[in-house]
Order: sequence, then C-alpha cells, then structure tokens
Amino acid sequence: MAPFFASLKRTWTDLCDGVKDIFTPGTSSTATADRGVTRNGSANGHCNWQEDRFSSRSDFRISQDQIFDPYNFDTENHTSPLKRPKLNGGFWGEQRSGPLGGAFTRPHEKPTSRKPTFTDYPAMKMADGSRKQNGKQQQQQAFVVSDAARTAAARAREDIHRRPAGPLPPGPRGRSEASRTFHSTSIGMNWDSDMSYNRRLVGLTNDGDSGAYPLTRRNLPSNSTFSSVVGNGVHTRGHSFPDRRNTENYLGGEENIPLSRSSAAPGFVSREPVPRPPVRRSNAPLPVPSFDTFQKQKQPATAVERYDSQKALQRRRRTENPFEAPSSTVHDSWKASPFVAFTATRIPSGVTAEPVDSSYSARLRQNIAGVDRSRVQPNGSVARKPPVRPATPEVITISDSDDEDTAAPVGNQKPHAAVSPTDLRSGRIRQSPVEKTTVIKSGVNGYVSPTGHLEEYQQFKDDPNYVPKERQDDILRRMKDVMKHFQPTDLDYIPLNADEDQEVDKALGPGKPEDVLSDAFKITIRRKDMLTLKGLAWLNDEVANFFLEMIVERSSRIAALPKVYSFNTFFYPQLMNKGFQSLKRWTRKVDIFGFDMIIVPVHMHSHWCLAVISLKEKNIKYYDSLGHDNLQCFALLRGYLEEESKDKKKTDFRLDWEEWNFVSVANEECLPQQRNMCDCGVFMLKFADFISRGKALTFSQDNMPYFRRRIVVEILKQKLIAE
Amino acid sequence: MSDTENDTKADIKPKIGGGDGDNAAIQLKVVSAEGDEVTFKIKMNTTMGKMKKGYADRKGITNMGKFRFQFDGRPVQDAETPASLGMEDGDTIDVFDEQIGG
Repeated sequence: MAPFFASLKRTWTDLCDGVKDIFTPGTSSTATADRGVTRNGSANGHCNWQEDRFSSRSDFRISQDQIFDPYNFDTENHTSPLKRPKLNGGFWGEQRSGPLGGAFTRPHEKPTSRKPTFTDYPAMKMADGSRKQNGKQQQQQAFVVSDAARTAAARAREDIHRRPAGPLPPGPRGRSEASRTFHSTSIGMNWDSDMSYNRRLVGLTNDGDSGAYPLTRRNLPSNSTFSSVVGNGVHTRGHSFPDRRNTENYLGGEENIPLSRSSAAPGFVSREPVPRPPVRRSNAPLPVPSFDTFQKQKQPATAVERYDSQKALQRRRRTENPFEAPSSTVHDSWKASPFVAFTATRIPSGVTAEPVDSSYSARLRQNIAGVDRSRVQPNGSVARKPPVRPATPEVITISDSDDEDTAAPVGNQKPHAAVSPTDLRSGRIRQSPVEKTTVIKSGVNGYVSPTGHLEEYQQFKDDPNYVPKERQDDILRRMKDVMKHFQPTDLDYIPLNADEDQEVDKALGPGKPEDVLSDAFKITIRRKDMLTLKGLAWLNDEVANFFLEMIVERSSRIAALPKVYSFNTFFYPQLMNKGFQSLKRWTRKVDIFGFDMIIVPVHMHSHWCLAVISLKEKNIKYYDSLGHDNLQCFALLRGYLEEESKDKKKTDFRLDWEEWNFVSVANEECLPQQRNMCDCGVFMLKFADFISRGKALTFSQDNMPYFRRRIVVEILKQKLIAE
Repeated sequence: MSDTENDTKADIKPKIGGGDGDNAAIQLKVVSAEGDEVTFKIKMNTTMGKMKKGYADRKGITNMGKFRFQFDGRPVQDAETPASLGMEDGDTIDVFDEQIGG
C-alpha cells in the first residue's frame, strides 16, 4: 500500500496523465505522453495551471476566504486577484483528497483515507513509474468519442473563445429552469457525451439565490451542494449562478480553458443524493411588530370561513370597483397588507405585459414617469381600469438632464385613454382625448410632475410630504380598505390595562412560593401555582381548576350563556383508572343532565386536552391543541353518561346514542394548534372559555403570552374578563 | 390493606383534641390513584391540613404541594374539618398527584 499512497501524493500529475490516457488509449502505458494532446484536446491545451498547480502546492497555505472573497475581484478582467489555478483541485477537485476536494481542505489537516475509485484516479502510477489500470479503467477506455462529438465540442469551444468579455447574455433557458436542471442532474461526470473534459466546474449550486451568497469556505457546510461538473451544457448557459461574471471567477474561469456550449444530454445523476442548498438565513433581527401584539385581528375559524371571507372580499371589491382588473392572489395580499397598501404603486396590468427592459434605469424610468398619471381624470379621480392603449403614443419628453439613462422614456411608458367609471356605468363610453404628458425631471428633489400639476408642484415642491391630489383619493380609499381588516377590539383580546399589567408582574414576580394570591372556589392559588402561568411553564391543576370554576360561575351568573358544568381535572384520570363506581358520589349534589354542556378537562400524563359533552347538541367534542384524537375518551365518556343516567335518573341513556356525534375537532375542523410543547394548558382553558360562550376559536399560538397574563389577572380578580 | 398499615394506624392518629363529646373520631380512607389505601382515625373538628401532613409523613412526601385531597370530587382545603365537609365514618378521600401539562 505504501506505493499506492505515495502515488496519491502526486495525484495531480496522475490525473492529468490519466485523463490524457483515456483519450489516447493506445499510449496509456507511457507516463509522459506528448503534452500537445491535452485534456481538453485543444491546441493551446497545455494549461499553465497544470504546472502552476503542481509547483505551487507548497504555497497553498493561504486563507481560503481570501481566495473566495467575492468583494475582492477584478471586475474588469474577471479574474481573482489571486491566481485562479489555486482554486482548482485535481480531477474531482481533490488533489488533496477529501469530500470537498483539495481546494477546500485545510493544509494542516490530514487527508482522509478514502479509498479512491476509478473515477477519481483513472490511472495509477505505480512506484516504479508504470501504469496500473484496473478493469473498470480499461472499460472506460473502451469509450470511443465520436468524431461528431469532438467537432461539436471544438466548435463550441471556438464559439466561446469568440465571446466578448463581460457578462453573457441570458441563455435560452430560463434561470429557474436552469437552476432546476443544475440541481436535478446532480452534476456527475458525463462520460457519454463529451469526453473532452474541457471544463471543470467546481462550486456551489445556490439555487435561485442572489449573488449575495459568497462562495467562501464558511459557506461550504456539509449540507451544501458541492458539484463537480465536467463537460457539458449543464453549467455553460443559464446556470444557477445569477452573476455570470462572478461565477467565472469562482468556478475556475480561466480564459484559456474553453467553455463547452454543446447541448449534450445532462450529466448522469449522481450516485449520492445531492443535498439541497442551505436555507438562507437572514442576519437581520426579527421584525418588531409595530402593532400591538395583543390587538389580534379576528381570523376566520375554519378553512371554509376563510374561503368565504376571501370570496366576500372579492365580491365587495368587484361591486365597488367594477372596472378594476380581476384580482389575483397577489393583489389580494397586497390589499390585505396594511403596510404595503399605503405605499404600493399599482401598475396597470397592461403595462406589465410589455417586453420588459429590466435594466435598472428602465425600471427607474417606469417608476418615476408615473404610470398612474396617465389615467388621471379631468375631475381629479383616477380611472381604475387600464383602458385600451392608443396605437400611437404621444409622449413629449422634456428633460433637463443630460444623462441618457435617467431621461424620461419615449416608448416605455404609454399614456392610456382614461375611461371614467361613471361614464361606463351610464352606458356612454367616452374616449377621453389622449393626454399629452410632459415629464419634467427636476434637479431639486427628483420629483416628476406632469404639466397638469405644475402649479401645485411649484407650490409644494419643497414639501417632502407632498402628495398630489389624485393620489390622496387613492390613499384614502386604500386606507379604508385596510381598516376594514381591523375588527373593533372585543373582550376576548382586549389588552390589559396598566394596573392589570402591574398586578401580573407583581404576582409573577419574586416572592415566597407559598404566598396565597387568590382563594376561591375552595381552591387556593399560591404563588408557585401562579408561576405555572409564567413564560413557557406548564400549567398545573390548581390553575386549571380555578379557571374552570370561574367559567362555571360565569355561566351560572349570566343567563344568556349556556349552562355549563365542569368536572375538575381529576375526573378523567379517576374515570380512566377506577371507573364509574369511584365517581358515583362526585355528582351527588348535581344533576349533570340539566346542563347544556359539560366540560371535561382531560389530563393525559403531561398534556392537557379538553372534552366537551354538549347535551343540547348531542355531541361529544374533543379538543386537542396538538391535533391528536382520543377514541378512548369518547368511549369512557359514553360509558360514564350511561352509568350516570342509570344511577341518577334510572333511565337508559343508551337509546339516545344514535343521534349523538363524536367529533375529534382537530380532525374535523380548524382547531387552533400549539406550536410549542408548553402551551397546551392555556389552549385547553381558552378552548373551554370560548366554547362555554359559544364563540368561535379564533385565537392562535400568537395569543398565548397574552392569554397567560390575562389568566393571571382573572385569577387574581376571581372573575373572567369576557362575559 | 397491609398489616403494617394497620399497625401504624395508631401512630398516625392525631393526638389533639381532648374529650370525646361531640368530637367523636371517625375513620377515613385515603385512596391514591394507584389504589393504595391509608386509613386514618380523625376527630370531627381536626383540620384536614393535619391529616394531609400525616399522609405526607406516612408516604414520605416532603413537598406538600405535590398531592391533592379530593372529597367527592371537591377539593379539600387545609382549614376544613370532617365536620365542615360532612364526612361520615368510612368515607373515602381521593388523593391525586399534582397534574402539570404542556
């Protein structure tokens, strides 16, 4: 094995020769074939970087971050300040062995002793200098590169050589498609189609990502897609790197290494699964909600209700603005977003259909020229519908700027003949004359105003908050739309006032655990019990029972509410462990069949759920904020009701079961779910709270911190806030 | 019920309260969820807190907040007495462990 490892150290030369050997099978046994036939088969194929690579191996102790520094590139020459060859590894980018190749292996690290495969090292140079080939290598030599493929590759190479310096125009494939291809084909060696190895591409596939994903050593975690591409169109056109130029630099873009443009079949799918690129995580801090967290807007409970409300919104908008383009999902989200709606500029659908000049200056022009301006009515209102575009746009552009890029557009923006909704409604479609829009670019603050508003503009040009008149209407209308989404705060989500907040802080603050904070319903809430409502603590039975007692008390006090009876939290374990006989005396003084609903808190080892027996609606519903169902619970409660009926009322309850429903709500309907493993107690209590008032379960995990504090207040006051 | 529990019954019995009179002793069973029974002889005006303490001593429970007494599905508070709870001889008190859940 010693000769074997010795040969590993000289992998690079081995590789180069091995590649060459494949092309020249007849001469494969000679170690030093003529350099004229190179790995890429081109006349100038004697790549300097081969020698460079070999000679500069000792110089490799250089910061890889420095090499890959994306901000340190010579953008003129498209080269790294450091020599590109240092980036390239061996055949698989691993003249130093290792999964990421030599370029990414720290020099001081011991190379991993992975057994090389034939694909790694097509030919081994033995200690005596002879060539050792295994069977698979000989099989590989049996590949015959067709003349057609060679000529095609050569043509492609020449084509590439002729290409001007600078970014390539976008390829025939779309970016997304290219990204997909780049991914799915998983970048193996394409032995079949192009044997010329004229290009090796080593890099990351940052799929659909922006260029702000520098390829540094830090960004080469084990889960990133490290791809080696040899040969073909996979990487040549429309690759997943958004910036061609940088890609060139990152990925070994030596100009003397021709770039194949052959449209051969994609490379074979890698034998190893290619992991997805890492999810980009923004380093920005979490957005701070600018609205009061507790002022939760009311959400539809079920998916059906959500759908209905969305449809209703669309209907309403259709009614109000009959000439508005049919709303899309994007448009609706735009409407629903209170933050965007104020500032969003609505671009008529007709404009977006134009061939897009995506350059920055074009987009700038599009923005500043004011697409909405052209639809301003003489009376100041804005036409909602983008009308038919006239055949010959007449735009007079006056610009005081010499800059060609920022000059107002000639053909990009076309004014639209405005149609007033009132005209259309009355049946008279009046084509208003095409407005001659004059765009003036001001050097003062860059504001552009059409001639129609010159006086106004002159008046307010120094006011940074200047909003043109027709824009004011638009903004007001949008504000109205936005405000519709904010329900008036109801008692379910009413924020705690300052006094209550202070009480909560005091109750949850420091103090003796045995301090009695609240004592009612024969339940003593001490500080240690109250602290189970703090933060992410698990609720205990005292708090739960106290709260359920408050619900029962509220229901008994207020006639409008359903009559509610609640078992305590020990009922269900007792029923499960000991059966009905041990519970016979629990309802000695109460007739549970006289209530509308019976709340049964379900404690399962360390999880709070809720079962509600609705004697009025004849169903048993099971509410689990983790979404499980519990058939045993249904069976136990059925049995309990039967026994209880037999025991107390001497009637057979079993006759009624046909009308009853047993619903695991999380399966059947939209049930608020907890997103952690500590709020189930709060969910259980709020389920009971809302159900006992017949309210829809509109809360979510986001409300839990508020609910915890609110429950503290309610326990302290011994009275529920919402009645 | 095991013999040892019968033997130690006398030790657990609270020794407070003087004459018999209206303060007659009753026997109460404390039954845990697992089915373990501990029998107490307790006078009618003895607070249940003392009985809880006796139960904790008997079971070796140091934290009094870790179990709950329930009588007919209603919590038993420390200050209550068998008389206030309307207990009779031979009644059963259920004892539950503290429930927490997340």
